[in-house]
Amino acid sequence: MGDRTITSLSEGERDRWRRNTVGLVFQDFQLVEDLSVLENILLPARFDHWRTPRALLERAIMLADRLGLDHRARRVSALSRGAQQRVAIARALVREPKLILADEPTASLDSTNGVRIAELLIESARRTQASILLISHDSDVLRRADRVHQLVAGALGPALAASS
Amino acid sequence: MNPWPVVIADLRALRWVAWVAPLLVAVAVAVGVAVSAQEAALRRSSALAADDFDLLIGAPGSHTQLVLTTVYLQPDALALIDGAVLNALARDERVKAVAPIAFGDVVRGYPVVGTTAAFAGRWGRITPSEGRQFAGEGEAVIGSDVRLSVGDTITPAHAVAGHRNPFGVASEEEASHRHDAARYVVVGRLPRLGTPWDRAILVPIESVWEIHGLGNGHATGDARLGPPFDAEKTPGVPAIVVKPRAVADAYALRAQYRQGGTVAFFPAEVLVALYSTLGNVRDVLVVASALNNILIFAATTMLLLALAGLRRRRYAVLRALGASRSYILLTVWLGAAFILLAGCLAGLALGGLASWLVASVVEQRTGLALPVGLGVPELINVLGLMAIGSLMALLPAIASFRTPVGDILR
Repeated sequence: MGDRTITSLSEGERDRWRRNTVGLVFQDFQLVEDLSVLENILLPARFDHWRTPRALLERAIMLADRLGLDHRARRVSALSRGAQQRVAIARALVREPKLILADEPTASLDSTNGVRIAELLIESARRTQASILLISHDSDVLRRADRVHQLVAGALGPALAASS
Repeated sequence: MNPWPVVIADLRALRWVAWVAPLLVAVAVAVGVAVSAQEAALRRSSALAADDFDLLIGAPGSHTQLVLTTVYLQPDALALIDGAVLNALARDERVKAVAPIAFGDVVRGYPVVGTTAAFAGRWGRITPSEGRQFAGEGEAVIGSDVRLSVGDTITPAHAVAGHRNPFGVASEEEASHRHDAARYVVVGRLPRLGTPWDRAILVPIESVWEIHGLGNGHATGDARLGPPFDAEKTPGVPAIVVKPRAVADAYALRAQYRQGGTVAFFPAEVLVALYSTLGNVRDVLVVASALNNILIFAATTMLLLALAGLRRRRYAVLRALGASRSYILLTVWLGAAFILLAGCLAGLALGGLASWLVASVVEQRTGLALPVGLGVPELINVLGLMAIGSLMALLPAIASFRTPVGDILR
């Protein structure tokens, strides 16, 4: 990853590396249900800050706005599934990671929401100049990727044409 | 790092369990606190009540019964001792003051106690807070809790052993034993002592003798109250309180009046025996409440361990998002410690409340004011439990700390 060999890092260094470099989006969102939208987005900031830096707070609010979320919403569990995944995307982006890993980000959403989420994810990654590594079965999502590889029995196949 | 948002979310996710678990801990802690506070208060106040009763002399019989009847006014029929003993003591060089104590009558459930003005004023320690001390036959001073007023006229009734009227209530039972010719006028009220004597009506011993047809203890009908009782034959009394001049005199008097038809002893002797029994009971209760605490703490820790297990996935996600192991450790520890420590603190308050409630029941039943308060022993007890709780909270924290992340997320 860049010029670092991740596997040779200590556990603490790997934690820090994940915190600062990677944004994660899960298939089933993995939000903390009893926290507000803003707290969920800011969660990765809590791991090393007692008080959230102002810049991070502003960025979290900006991300929520851009993703069409009300950052004051008290409980994420009350949100629709599409909105919950948007919270998860905002959480992945809040620390401006260089790499976004998304595992089936649209698989648990209906197709309209799925397309919207895929667009938001790719567009957000572009804006922050982050790479995005995404696993999906969804052809609407795959169509938007620069490169598509097929995984066959755990092995990476050759690159397919992006539009196919 | 700031684990609070996750801690709070974890606690919120528990819903009612977040209240019930500390409550269970609180009840267990409260029992220990209440037992300890109660026993200390009972010792203090019972010893205080016996303060003015240096040496008790009575007819041969149970020391404990004599103490219960004279100091704590628990009614019982006591055998009488020869009134001549009173005069012998009054003349004795070693005696600073002596007073008879006679029971037997009641007014509206309040015991009427015949004694001297000197003892009614607790050897000069207290003076009436309202009105004045009795100064002649037919006058009475009342304890602070007696629901009568200065100026009231009362008729005593003969108390019947085994029957007890509620305080302040004029019952028919009492009316049927009334000494119809006898009258007392309430002339004063004593300040509060915090002892059963707050519910007594104190009258001159002369009046008690007179009402029961024994004369007034003096050679003439209009003699001054109090010793010497110079009648041809001084009437008997159930108990005598003696205030010796010095410690050596106290022991000499006790030795002398232990024979010849009387018993003499220090109430403290009886109290020490009672305290030792009380202490044994307390020890049993302390052990029981300690076992109780262990059970509840262990059960709560098991619950918290199970919870940490159920939340493995959440913590694994946090690790994936970049949280360090120590962040998870701190989060789980804070959540578990919060439940146990909140329980301990609530238990301290609950224990204080419980002993206060018990104290008011005891005071209502016996008149013994129990100055319950949370003292150093109770605080140390709870602080110790809090320390144990903090350590036990580490168990689920360590369990979460050790869980491998990759396996759970797969």
